Amino acid sequence: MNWIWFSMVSGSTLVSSWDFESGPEGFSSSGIPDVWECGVVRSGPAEGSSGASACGTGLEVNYGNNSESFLSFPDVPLAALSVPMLRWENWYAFETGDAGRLEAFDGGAWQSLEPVYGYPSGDSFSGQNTNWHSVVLDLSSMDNLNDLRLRLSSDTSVTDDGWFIDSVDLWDGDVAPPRISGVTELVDTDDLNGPYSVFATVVDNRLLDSVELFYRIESGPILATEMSALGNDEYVAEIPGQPHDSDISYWIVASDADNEERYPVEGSLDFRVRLPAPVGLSGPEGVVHSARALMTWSPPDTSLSVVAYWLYQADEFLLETLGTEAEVDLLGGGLDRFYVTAIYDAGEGDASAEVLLDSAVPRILEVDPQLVFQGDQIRAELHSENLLFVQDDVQLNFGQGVEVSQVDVRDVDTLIVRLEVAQDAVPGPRVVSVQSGAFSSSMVSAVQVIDGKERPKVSGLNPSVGRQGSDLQLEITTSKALAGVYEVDLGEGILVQEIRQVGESSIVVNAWIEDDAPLGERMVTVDDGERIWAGEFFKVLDRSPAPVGCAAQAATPFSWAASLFVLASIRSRRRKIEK
Amino acid sequence: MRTSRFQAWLGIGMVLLQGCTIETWIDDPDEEVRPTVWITETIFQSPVPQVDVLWVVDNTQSMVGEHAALADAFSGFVAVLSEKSLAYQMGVVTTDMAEDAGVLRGNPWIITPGSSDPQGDFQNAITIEESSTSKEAGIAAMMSALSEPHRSGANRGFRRPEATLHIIVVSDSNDHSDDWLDGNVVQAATEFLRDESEQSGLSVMLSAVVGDVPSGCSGPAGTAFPGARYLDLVNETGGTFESICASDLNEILERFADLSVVFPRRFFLGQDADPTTLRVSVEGQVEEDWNYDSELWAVTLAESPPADARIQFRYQLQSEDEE
Repeated sequence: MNWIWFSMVSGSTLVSSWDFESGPEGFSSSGIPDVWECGVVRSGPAEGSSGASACGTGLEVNYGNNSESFLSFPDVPLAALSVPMLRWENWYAFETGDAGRLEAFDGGAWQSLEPVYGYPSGDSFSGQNTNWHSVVLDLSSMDNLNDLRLRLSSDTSVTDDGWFIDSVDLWDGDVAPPRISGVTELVDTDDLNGPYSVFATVVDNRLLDSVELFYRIESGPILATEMSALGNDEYVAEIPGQPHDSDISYWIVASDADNEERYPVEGSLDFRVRLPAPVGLSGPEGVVHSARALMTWSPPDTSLSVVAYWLYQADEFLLETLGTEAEVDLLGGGLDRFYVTAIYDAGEGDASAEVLLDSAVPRILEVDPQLVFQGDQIRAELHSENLLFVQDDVQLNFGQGVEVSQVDVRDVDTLIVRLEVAQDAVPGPRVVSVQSGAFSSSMVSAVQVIDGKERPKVSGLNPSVGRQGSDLQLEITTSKALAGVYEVDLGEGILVQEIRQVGESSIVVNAWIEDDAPLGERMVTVDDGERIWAGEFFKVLDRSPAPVGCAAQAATPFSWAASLFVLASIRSRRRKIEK
Repeated sequence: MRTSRFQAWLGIGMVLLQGCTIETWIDDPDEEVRPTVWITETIFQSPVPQVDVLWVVDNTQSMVGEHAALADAFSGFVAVLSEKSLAYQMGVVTTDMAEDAGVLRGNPWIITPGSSDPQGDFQNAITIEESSTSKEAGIAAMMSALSEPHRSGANRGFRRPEATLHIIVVSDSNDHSDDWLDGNVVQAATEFLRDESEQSGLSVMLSAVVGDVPSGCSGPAGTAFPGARYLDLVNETGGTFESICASDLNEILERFADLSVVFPRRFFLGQDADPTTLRVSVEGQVEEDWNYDSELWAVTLAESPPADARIQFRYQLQSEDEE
């Protein structure tokens, strides 16, 4: 449906409008084959520029081959309009060799007509522009709108979606804004002095009022400067020099009496004044199984002098160097992200592209327990990552006075070590170092040796003596609570048969003292899985007299007397032998 | 000699006082004294059994769906291992011998109970940036991962001498290792795994989540060819076969985790024992069913003692003549 109304827009008056939502609305088609239709669009753009409908060269199919097909405009007298202009939304997709043209009837024949500022290229709409876009036509030479028609010409083979128009408006007044083209697209620069010149070609179908360059430094105020005419529709303006690290956005606005045009239509063009970054930052490829890595880069592409480079790791400043490489300590855990900057007289330049190393840094994480006593014998767990422990291929050093008597690999990251701390080991923190195959690591203050006075120990034995060839039931008490009972060692010749923990700090051991168990004192040790407890001695005595009948028999006064007799005999015999 | 005389006097004294016969324990003063050395060794069963799990994962394009399901189900697998307090180590190799050739993938490439995010590490290891276009050679990849130079090189630390080995193959194809292994592939792999087991004295098994034999299968993630070679190895090693077309991979992996709990049953002595004198007890109970390897000085029990069990070996040294 077309409307006839009068609406003022920037000095122009809308005279009539067609949106094809109710059909052709006075438009008519002709030609062989006649392909133009007006209605709901199902091919090409699939909808109108506003609403579902438009006029097109086939609403559901491509246009046909060998077509000369026309869409004629309605009968609208133009004589009363002072500046008759037509504007519509345009969409087209033509196969090569096919095209769309505007034609005007001059009273005798149909003549080619160009839109304001001409066709995008050549003398027709050709190729594709599949975004709805405005076309403006100056009708000053016409008496009636029906002197205007659209013409589709197709060749003998291959077709495409075709040509569609929608939102056709007839205006009285200039509705063609200036056209801006050829705008300089400034690129990032290390020129701190400027100025930065912006050129543009600006034309208008009537008369330009002004051409202005607008620009903005970072998020500062918007500044404007009039562009100077250079002739031949060329204009220029300058943005003054800016300090480095400045992001500058700019755009152009051109105006005539009734219209304004902006370039770009939305947003802005941008460039950056910067001190360029080094290029080609790189490190080792693949998984880096090391505590260190060599990072290299190339100087920035600039005529400015570089006075140094700053290397960053995990966004923290790492080091300064004059060269283009650096050996770095790796952190692991995804933190080995690096970038490098160049330092100029004017300051620090841009950061290079970031490089992330896939690092597997060998290191000790923890020794548990961390506190050991002088004189301790203790099991400790050493937790690590990327040291790849292998049984019998691990060397450990806990410093002087702390011996490693046993190393068991639980897994590639965990060692169970038995430490024997000398009574006179120097108290204080210790550096622990590990060598595992080709990998090594050390940790400061991994363990601390503390005064042995408070060391947990075996504090009592009951009994503290036993004889060769006898059963033994021994109660062992400790100065502090045991973690459990893993093993009790009563020394050579005493076979432990059963261990029972009867209290937090008390255990009972059933054992057999062998006939040939070495005589004398031996240290009793209790291994509770964490610590080897020691501190009391058990004494093995000479074998006792055999019981009567070789069976267990309670001691009687008679047997005690017999024993005394035996001892006397032994002493007597010894004296004889010695003589 | 002096001791013998002393013992003789002691015995006579006792006879006089108690009237007991002494023949059985008095030493002959004229007999040459040859001390008998009894050795008692106590070994505690590991409180946490060690298991090394090698995942052999098909990384061809058709496996993309299975990878996602595998990553999802992995947390259940780890949960079972953790629940049983296993000292596990896990690594992933692909079936691509041309590119990966049995080198463990990911970083860390060995996942342990100390890993802060085992599931993330596993997902990272099985995530394939570019799908393989090589023939699936899971058996060759498995053997390469466990052999030199990778064993002590790129895969250093993965295989532990006191850990059982559980290999889990996940593939929608049969094995095509012929380009990498000479002769009968299954036979070569069987012998390889048998050697691996004999060296450690611990169980080595291969389980497989592959296509059904003989016809293959179709499941939620696509179609699978029959994994005949893997099934042969499952049967040879006592592992478990599961269909890759089964819908519940969580359940399958939890069963595999249960299978991974194996305690050692071979124990090494510090000296070469005379097996005729060797007495073995577990938690004070005499064990009769064992055998002794005089070359390794190792006792292998018929059944694995439980966690923390006290295992005692009492023996005399093997005489030099018999050696």
